[in-house]
Amino acid sequence: MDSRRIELQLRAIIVTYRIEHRRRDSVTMEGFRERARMLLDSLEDEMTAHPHMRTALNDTRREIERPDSSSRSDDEAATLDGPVSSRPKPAG
Amino acid sequence: MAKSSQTSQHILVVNDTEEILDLFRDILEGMGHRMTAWSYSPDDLAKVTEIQPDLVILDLMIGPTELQGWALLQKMRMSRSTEEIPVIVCTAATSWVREQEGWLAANAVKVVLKPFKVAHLEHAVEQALDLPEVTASPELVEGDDRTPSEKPIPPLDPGGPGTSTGKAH
Repeated sequence: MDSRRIELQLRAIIVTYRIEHRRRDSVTMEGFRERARMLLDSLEDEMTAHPHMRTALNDTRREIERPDSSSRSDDEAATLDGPVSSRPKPAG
Repeated sequence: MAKSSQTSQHILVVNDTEEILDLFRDILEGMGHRMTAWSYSPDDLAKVTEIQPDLVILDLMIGPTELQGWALLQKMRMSRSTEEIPVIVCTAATSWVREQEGWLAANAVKVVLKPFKVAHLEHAVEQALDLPEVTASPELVEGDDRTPSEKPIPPLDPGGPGTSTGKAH
């Protein structure tokens, strides 16, 4: 898996997480988190070949594991969003 | 698996979130396909037939009532002009999927659960388009290998399974 692929996978996790987090209750989100953890764990093996992706992986994991009541900070958004982050977030 | 050698296909993605549409565009165009993005679920099926997609990927929860994706899916399967178009539902509503799995299987609707592995989505797309390249394992792809049942189409119930996940808005 190349870096672009890892980045795309992390984006797929974090983008869907943020949207569902806005929409769903904590019970439903726990199942979502469980699947996200599995996907993130599956990327761990790739970190040996791509150590520069470690921060992005850790940041993604941290956001997924954060309690539902808190929200992410702007600096994390800048780290995690990549090219999409510059685009305005849609309402709803 | 990202680039494949098959013919480029036209894929319609219906989702009310811009970030998701951007994500799908990167994935699908990375596979060599052409994507049309709709941030709304059309009331008129003619809009779907007009653009003649080879595949439709939609979320079930779209729009103010959050059931417009489900409504579109039902309408597509009830209309002769759209009933043969392959559909992939990409959703986080696992309980809904379980409750509707008979209908989904009977109507040849594939399901990719969020959060998804990119390779699994690609696999589902290739399968739905009946294209040869298949390299991903299908653990998170549901509804494709099941024996079709004869269950009737369930009613569209705003208070039913589509809202059972307790969404916040």
